[in-house]
Amino acid sequence: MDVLLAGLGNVLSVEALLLVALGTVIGLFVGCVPGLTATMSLALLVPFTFTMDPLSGLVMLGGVYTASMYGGAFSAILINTPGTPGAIATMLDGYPLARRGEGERAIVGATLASVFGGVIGFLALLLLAPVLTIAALKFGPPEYFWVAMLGLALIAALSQGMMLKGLMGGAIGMLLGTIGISPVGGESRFLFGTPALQGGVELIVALIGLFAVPEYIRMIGNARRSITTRQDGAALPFARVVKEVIRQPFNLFRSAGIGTIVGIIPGAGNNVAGLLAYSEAQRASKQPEEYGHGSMEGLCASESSNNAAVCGSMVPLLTLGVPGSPPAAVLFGALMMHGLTPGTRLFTENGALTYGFIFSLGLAALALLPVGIYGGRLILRMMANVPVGFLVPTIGLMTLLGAYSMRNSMVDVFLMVGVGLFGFVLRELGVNPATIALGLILGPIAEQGFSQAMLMGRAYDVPALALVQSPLSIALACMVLFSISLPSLRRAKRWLATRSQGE
Amino acid sequence: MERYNDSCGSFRKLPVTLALSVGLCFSAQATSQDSFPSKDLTYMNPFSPGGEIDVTARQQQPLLEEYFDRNVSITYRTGGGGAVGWSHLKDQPADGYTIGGFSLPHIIAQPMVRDPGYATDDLKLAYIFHSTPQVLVVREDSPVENLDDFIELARNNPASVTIGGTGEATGNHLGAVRLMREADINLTWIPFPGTGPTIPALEGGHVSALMTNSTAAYQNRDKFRALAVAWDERLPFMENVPTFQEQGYDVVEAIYRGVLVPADTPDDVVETLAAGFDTVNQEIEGKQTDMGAFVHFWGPEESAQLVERLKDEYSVLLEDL
Repeated sequence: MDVLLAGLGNVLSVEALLLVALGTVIGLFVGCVPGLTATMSLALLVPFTFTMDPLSGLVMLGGVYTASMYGGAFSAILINTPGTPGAIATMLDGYPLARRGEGERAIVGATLASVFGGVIGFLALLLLAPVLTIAALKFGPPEYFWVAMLGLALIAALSQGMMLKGLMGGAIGMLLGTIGISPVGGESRFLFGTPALQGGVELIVALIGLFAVPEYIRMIGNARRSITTRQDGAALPFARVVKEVIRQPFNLFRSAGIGTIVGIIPGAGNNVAGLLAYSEAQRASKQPEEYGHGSMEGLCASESSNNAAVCGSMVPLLTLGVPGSPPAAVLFGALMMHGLTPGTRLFTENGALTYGFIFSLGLAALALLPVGIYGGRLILRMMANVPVGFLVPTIGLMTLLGAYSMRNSMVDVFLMVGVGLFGFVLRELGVNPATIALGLILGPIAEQGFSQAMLMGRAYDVPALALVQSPLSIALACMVLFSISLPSLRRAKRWLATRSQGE
Repeated sequence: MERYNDSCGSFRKLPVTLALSVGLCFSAQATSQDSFPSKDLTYMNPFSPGGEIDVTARQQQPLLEEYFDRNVSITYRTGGGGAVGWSHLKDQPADGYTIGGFSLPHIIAQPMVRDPGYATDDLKLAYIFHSTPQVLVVREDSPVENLDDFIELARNNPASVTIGGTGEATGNHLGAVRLMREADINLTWIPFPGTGPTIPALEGGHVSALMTNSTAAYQNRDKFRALAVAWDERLPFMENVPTFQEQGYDVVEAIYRGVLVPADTPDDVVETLAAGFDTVNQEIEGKQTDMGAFVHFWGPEESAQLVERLKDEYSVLLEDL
């Protein structure tokens, strides 16, 4: 308890508060530019923290991490391109809202949900970290496989009425995900003689291609911006959006819960968190048909989940000494460089510092509210008022720079343009690019979990039994079966209902 | 077993220092009008931020800048287990201004098992700053108390004892392969995409054991029981853990890390770089040991000798895979 209060005291200094604010502003900028990733910006900032004391350094880095996850929502809503992979699901509903002139409502709603998710994740990290760690350790290769399958079941929801095209998109995504060195076995796949492809298709590069390029083509083709502001120009009543968001407590809590858990599982990360929460929210929703056409519920589910995952990914870092996500790996390095070894000893030997860092993550989550509402309105106004003649080249340059800066490689720029044109054609043919993104994200996770599980089953007569060895994997497998059969169950129910009415 | 004078106190730096002073005399004559480095350096990391090379490079960066009186900027070019970075580096101008981090056995083993876009001989090693000898660990609460227990377990349950680590044909993997050959046991190798995910995999009981780096074994010493170290002597920071050799199995395997340049880089430039890294490495030795890394001070010649020796060993090991 003493260390807890000492930690809180550490953070409530003027210096620490200013650093949190600075960190969130930097993070917001990084987050909303696709191609500037949290991982890279943290890596660039780490040397600057050398001259600071460890807590100040960590506080600033924590602020950047938190805000960059949130900032991804801006570009998702305004230019239909997730600024961070975690914002894919945000885009599905945020962008339709912006197109109908409700961009401000979407941004305010996303901000509120993000703050909520961030605070829940922070409380979980502060109070439940040891318990959650035990839960996370239950996830082995078979469980990863089933989690990925659960995410892929979202394809069904994304492609209502066009199942075949949805599956096609998912398969194309999974195929893209196999480029590079195979995770088990180490063979090189689909390199076409280009050594640079050994690194595979970088997720951000593919996302820029799949979403920003078609958007860009559309903007040029129509010679006008695709989002509009409300015609009457009246300010949006803030209180109304607040009410709209807090009217869905179950959705918010469920999504934040999913986000926290997925964040804790090392390797899953916040992109999976947002997608899973979105698909669960849709399944539980009373208006599932609104999802993908500007549903506030879907937007809130995605945002509260991916922000809860930020604190979630800190749990394994601080308790197990294992980074749960790539940005957390940089924080791991930063801790090491300040002479702190991540792991349980962090709490006993450097308690005040560790709790200080945890509190700063909570503060950063709260800081999103003013920074996000003010900054969000600014960006929205800019997007709505800057002449298209300036907007088009600016976005074009940003996407090129973004793709290049991922690995300082022209190959990524060509990939981005190629995937973009391909995605544009597919979209014209009715394949939802989100299904491709889903396959690209979850395919490699599923492949690795599957092949590792099969290796583990080498000693059994039927190796596939390793996939359903633990109670958790059986439970997850049942959830997958349930979510696949749910549409048919719903149809059967409706059929029964109409028949009984007829009698 | 060839031994390196790594633990011989003050003598260990002698060969490097001698080589360097000779090298420096030559370089002073050869490049008097345009002494290296006359512009800023790029330090390329082929692995993602947060790993051993990254942490070390960040510790070195300010000290290198001071030593060379030039900016040193760290860039990342990741993917393919480092292959993307090395295949890029080999095509850079061979003037010493672009250096890259590397790890062994990667740069030897990758060209042996596939076409990674570079050959081992396209690269010239400038300096090796540390190694992480491989350590066999099980969970703290495991009934397996020592190496004999482990080998007996594996004999009684062929293929069902799993051993986790990073990737294929990596230091972790080759350490496990050497153990299987030496002890004549059949373990199932479960590859993970990095060291990070292996830790919870063992802690959650999803694999029976890990063949892991001394850094990971040392940092997780509260949770994991180290059974044996794949080195020819006990590690100074893990004095209580016996070596494989002590227990009758000739298993020696480590991941060595350092910096390299394109193969055509002039020797005097390489020597100048090595001298800088040698000075810096002495300053960060304490920080490196705290991480659980075993510090070396090997210049270009010793590094090249090591590569030649390992090439022969790995070609035999990898043929069996």
